Amino acid sequence: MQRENYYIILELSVDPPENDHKVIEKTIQNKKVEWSRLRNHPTKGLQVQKFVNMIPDIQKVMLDETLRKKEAQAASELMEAGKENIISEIDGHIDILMGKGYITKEDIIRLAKIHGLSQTEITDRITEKKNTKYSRIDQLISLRMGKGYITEDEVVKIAKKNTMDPKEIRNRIRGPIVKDEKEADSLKIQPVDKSIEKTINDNLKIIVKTSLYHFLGMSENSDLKALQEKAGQKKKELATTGKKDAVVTAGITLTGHCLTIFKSDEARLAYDISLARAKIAALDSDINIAAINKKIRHEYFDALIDKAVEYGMDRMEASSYIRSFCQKKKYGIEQKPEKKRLFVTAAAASALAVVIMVAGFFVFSKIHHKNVLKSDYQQLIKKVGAQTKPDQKIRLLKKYVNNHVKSEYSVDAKNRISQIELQINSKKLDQILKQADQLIEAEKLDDALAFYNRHLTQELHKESKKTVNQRIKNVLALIEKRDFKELTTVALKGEPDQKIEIFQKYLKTHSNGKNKDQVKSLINEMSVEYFIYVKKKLAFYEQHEKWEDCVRLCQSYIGIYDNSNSDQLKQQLPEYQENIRNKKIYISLVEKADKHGTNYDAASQVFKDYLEAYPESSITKKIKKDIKRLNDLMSIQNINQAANAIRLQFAETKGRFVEKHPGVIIDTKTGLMWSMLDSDITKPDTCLNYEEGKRYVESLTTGGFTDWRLPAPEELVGIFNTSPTFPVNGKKSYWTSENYSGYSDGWQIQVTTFSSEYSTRWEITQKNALECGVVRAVRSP
Amino acid sequence: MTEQTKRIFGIDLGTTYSSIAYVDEYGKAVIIPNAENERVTPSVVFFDEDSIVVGDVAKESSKLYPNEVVSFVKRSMGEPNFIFLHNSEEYRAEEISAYVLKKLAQDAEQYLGEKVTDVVVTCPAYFGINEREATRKAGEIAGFNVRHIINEPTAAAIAYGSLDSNDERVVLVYDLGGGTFDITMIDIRKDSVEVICTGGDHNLGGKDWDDRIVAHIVELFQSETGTDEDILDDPDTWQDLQLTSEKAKKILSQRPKTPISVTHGGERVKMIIEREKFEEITEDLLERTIEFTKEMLEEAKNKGYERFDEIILVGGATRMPQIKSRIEDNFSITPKVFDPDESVAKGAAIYGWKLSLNDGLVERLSQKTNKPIKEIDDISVMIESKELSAQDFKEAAQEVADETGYTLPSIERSMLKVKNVTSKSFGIVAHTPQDDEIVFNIVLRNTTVPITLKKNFYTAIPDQKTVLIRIMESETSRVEVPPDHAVEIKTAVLNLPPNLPADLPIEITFTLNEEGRLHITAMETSGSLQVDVMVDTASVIQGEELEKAKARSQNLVVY
Repeated sequence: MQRENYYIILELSVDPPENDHKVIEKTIQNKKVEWSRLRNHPTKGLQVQKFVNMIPDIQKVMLDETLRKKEAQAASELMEAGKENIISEIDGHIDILMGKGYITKEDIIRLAKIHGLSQTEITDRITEKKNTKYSRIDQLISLRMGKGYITEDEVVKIAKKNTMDPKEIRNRIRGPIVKDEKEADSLKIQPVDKSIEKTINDNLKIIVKTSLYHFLGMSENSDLKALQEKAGQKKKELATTGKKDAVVTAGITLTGHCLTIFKSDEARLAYDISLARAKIAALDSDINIAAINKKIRHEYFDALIDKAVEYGMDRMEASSYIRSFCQKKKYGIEQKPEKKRLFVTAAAASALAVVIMVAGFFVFSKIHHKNVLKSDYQQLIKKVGAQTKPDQKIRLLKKYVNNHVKSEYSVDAKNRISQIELQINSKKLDQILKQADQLIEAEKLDDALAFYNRHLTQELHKESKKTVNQRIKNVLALIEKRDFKELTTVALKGEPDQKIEIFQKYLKTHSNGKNKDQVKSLINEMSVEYFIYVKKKLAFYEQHEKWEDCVRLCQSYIGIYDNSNSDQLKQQLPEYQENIRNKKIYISLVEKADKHGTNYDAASQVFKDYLEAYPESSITKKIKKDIKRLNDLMSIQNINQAANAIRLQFAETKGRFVEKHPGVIIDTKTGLMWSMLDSDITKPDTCLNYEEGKRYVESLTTGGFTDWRLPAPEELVGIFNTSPTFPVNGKKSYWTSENYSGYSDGWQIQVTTFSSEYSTRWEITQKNALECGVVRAVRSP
Repeated sequence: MTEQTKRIFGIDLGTTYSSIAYVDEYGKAVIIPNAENERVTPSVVFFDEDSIVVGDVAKESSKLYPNEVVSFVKRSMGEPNFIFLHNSEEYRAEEISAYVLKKLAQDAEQYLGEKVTDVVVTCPAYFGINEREATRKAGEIAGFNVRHIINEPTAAAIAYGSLDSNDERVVLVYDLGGGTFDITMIDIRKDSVEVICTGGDHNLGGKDWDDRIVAHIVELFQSETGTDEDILDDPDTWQDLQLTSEKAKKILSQRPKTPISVTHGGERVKMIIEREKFEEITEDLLERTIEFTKEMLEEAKNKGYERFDEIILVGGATRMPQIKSRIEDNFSITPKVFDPDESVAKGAAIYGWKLSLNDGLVERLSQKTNKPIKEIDDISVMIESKELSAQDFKEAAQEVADETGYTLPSIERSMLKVKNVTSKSFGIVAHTPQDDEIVFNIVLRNTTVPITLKKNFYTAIPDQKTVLIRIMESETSRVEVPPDHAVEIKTAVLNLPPNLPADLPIEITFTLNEEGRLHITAMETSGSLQVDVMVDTASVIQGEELEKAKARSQNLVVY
């Protein structure tokens, strides 16, 4: 594959080619950066990566003078080709858009975007296109303007001939349009002064141009202002030319004319009239030249018409103009010689000769042809006889039939073909029957059926098809027999659903089976048995919330029976369907909640919102369970966060407190093991009185240990009042194992607590057992 | 943690997300959350004036400052011509990756209150020499002692194998990350994790799925507004759509459809993308992964592995439900989703932990046996060959256990052997008798490493002055490959003495270590001349440029 041109992908100047090493190196570097940025672009990434990989080669080529020169040459060729392609492509688009008769501003913007050009460039191209299209029209108009005006009648004619709207034609006419000749009389339009016209024409001759428009390189239909501007520009251009030769001088003169003539519409119209008249004058002069001896030869006449068309007349107009001019000048026009009749006579004579010759040849060739046919056919039959394969024989015979006209031989060949085909067919049928019999013998009845059916769709003789169809009937009977046998076995010992299934399957496959009535009555007999089965299954599915299965089962029964049982199931059905709907709702709720990830609060809110809207539904229980689950997760999350925060604090106890097992802190000083988290963290916002505190510590299993207990006051003193101390956040009172009755009847129990609640430091104090406290569990190693 | 047993961190340096893990006091691998309390950090770098921002903030900034944000840089690792320009300073992929590593380490240091010095970094199994070396360099630029580069699927398998299970099993690791795809067959045994075969594509990942959504959105936008404009030419729109598409992909992995709204050039278009459409436009990508898997299974057969027990899915992109169901359809086995975002980093951490304990053991054994440290390499082999007494080993292990606080069984477990294979073939350019150039592969891909292989080549003419050795990397299992199917990774020249005859044998030795680093020796067999080449590959950042990047990184705080 040809690779991209480096000048083009680096966007370096091609004309003239960039050759400065520094510029090239800098450009490559910039491109590297740009491409690296686009390296992961979703649609361009791959292309860009290709460019990135090309960088070493780009450097090699672009920094080597010879290789670079070649590259520049290739680039310039590519650009030329590209330009042409682009132009023809734009033209195509313009044609399509002009199809509707006009081009909108939006069209231009779109084209500019598509082709990566400026809007002006597109507008220019459209003008150019239009000009080509209109140039013929312009010619027709300008010639008619020779008289200083154009009539409405002429406008309509031009429009009609060119299948255009007269409006469009009118738009292109700059001079006056009159209703008729009478109206024209009131106009006082004059061509340019003859002498001025002459100077202009002389100067134009020097520079080989035909008109001032041509000189300016503008179309005759150009806007006046544009003509003025162009003239000014041209003047400046020529004025600065160093070498003032004839051409330049003539040019300068002409620019002056341009500036005056294209000053106003009137002046311009005058010039246009002169131009038109000059064209007619040129034609007149041509006619004069052609009229040798006051006679115009017929060849010249044709040439003159061509010339007139070139000037802007149509052929009819041209012919009548030349004729009337000649009439005025009293020139005769030679008629074309009438050779036609002569030719016909000669042709008739030669045709007769040909007919005679052909007839003679025909008689001869007919006899000869018959002999040849016979021997050809004999040879063919010999060849066919030599072939062993029937299809080869058919091929040869068919070839003969196709290549020869109908004759006794071709009829014979056709007969032979049918015979061979018949033989092939009967052989084929034998094979089919044989293979099928084998399958039937092997009790592969379904395979046999499929086998027959497959061959039925293939090319088989009508008679053979009949045979196969008969065989199919036989196989179907066999299959029915087999299926019924299988059915009776199941009917004896199968489960009710198996029975129903096989019965229904039988009826479906053998809708006209021999035993269909019997099967139907078997089904009817089973109505109660199957109902009991269905009820039992439904109970099971309900328990496992398999609502789809419930629906399926109900529908199965309802589909078969129409009795009081099925009525009962029909009543149950909507409930199951409602449950399916709820299940879907529940799944979507779970999905929605899952999306919140570990934001359990938000997840829980999803369920709560639903619960508020539908407080009583079949999924209420589940939803409540989920809310509880999420609340639990939330508290675990909170606990973990707290634990992580506390872990950092343990790192600062200089190795005294070490987390030996998850959540278990060993005091290396005493060997005592402490629960890392107290009840304040594991059960936030819960008031634990002394009894509850004791139960809490008893049920604790942190680190897999079950022998946690409440600490003695001095044990707490040991960790909180001896440096480095056990990290703890916030003020709290820890229950200790020490307690005593506040009153002799034991009704009020006082407990020793270790507290920071009442002071800036930890101290031993007492608390009523019914108040709230915190548990910091401990165990002895 | 003492000096002898330095903590080694495991880093998963991903195309789209990265993470860091360590092994805690209980011998369990845990992910360290970043400063934003996220367990994974987007591998996105934002050059914000004079500071460098990595992660979520950088990713979000890509919409506002598309030209100052770099993402997916892993795809350009080892690409010498990838350059990011900021404040007229040039940055290569290695350096940008280094910033991601730095951010992970910095946050981990803050979290643990411990310096991160030694790391194990992961890379796709399918990375070639260049990319591996570039990954190592990224670590060095970030200021780490890179102890090992380990393959991502291997790391995942280590994490998987470290779960409490004694089952020996053959596992396929289907690793579809943000930017790369690896398929690896691993034999997990009680005391070893052995890679059998590996294959994949380091340009196929979740991002490609995103890109398809981007292209689809663009098309919908165009048909809705009737414009022909490529809205991706606008960097803001491009970045916006890139993020939108990633989100859409995630939603479509959970729900059947997702609404999307695109704003570009003052026009706003709302659209719905359905999962079915999403699956349709990405079907070929998924198909490619299945093809890679089938090819790999074929190769495994050649190594005597006809079947496998499980498929585990690793990498965030495996969350797309179509992946699971397609694998299920194709291989009639329900794949297990295994910790898709974290297993790689955790596995790397476990590997690092193993290295650090091993260091301690080796040091102690060296003291006990009076052998120099470098002579004690494979302890289990040494015990088997009675080079080392079991008693010495037990004592040493107990000492390490006492010192580190780990239990003795966990120290013994750290002796887990990890065997790897090379994912590429390596060879040199030789000439056929017809004088055509051909790459002759000496080490074929999927060969177990470390390995040393030798092959003789012969000089072409009498009095040959030099032998040019062009070292090539390729992706086939064939011995001979045309040169344009291989990548040149290094050249070396062996100068020969005058007046040697033609057809003189030159012995070329390829040594590939367990990390996939290549060392080559070319020797003129009379023994007098030899060249050694350590393949550090020219296309990776090195020399002055590397030093500059290191210096720049040293003084840099990443936010």
